[in-house]
Amino acid sequence: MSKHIRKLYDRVDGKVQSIPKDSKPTKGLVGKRGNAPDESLDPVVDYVKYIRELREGQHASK
Amino acid sequence: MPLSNEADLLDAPIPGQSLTGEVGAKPWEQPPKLNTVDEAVEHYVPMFNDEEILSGVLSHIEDGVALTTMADLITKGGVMTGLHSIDVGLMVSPILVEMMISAADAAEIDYKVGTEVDKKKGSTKASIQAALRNTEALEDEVMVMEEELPEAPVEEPMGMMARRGV
Repeated sequence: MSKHIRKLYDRVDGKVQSIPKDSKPTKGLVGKRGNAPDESLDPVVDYVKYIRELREGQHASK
Repeated sequence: MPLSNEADLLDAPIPGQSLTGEVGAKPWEQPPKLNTVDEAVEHYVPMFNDEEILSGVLSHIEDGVALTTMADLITKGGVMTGLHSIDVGLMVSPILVEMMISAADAAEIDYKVGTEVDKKKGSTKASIQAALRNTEALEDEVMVMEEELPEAPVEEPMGMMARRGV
């Protein structure tokens, strides 16, 4: 299954990098359930994007 | 006595042996507790706040274990204990890899994601072309050598029943 994980991670990584940087920040990990689902965004991509933003300090002020 | 690294075929499971147990006896045969990626994330992400778990994860990363392999092990453990299905485990694994990258970055540890192309093993266009060129050169050499070789003398059959040229 490790091979499939590598493929999936590569695909998710590509999708996250293709999102424009000036796009609005995601709502994050907390309170995701119950929110209106954004059909245009894959939840896995959304989570990975949020974690990266957190790491790069974009959410540090919160 | 069988060698230690050879599989003992007589000790292997009989085909269909897994179907002889009672249905539902194993945790992974029960309905999973976490059915969505969100639920799985809510289960796994707090794990990275546990000091004991985090130090174990970081020590493995330090030893050079690829993050995708670690995510594979973690999610397989979840499947084995009946936490979630294989599908949910696969979906949540990139998030686990990303969490581990964050943890390794915070601890200033070098990590290997597992998606890097190995320069020794990976075949790029240039390496394929170089290999093709080498093969063509080798084929040319063999052709030249074959042309240079003298024809082997044809031996006359020696037996009593052998046909002889007239």
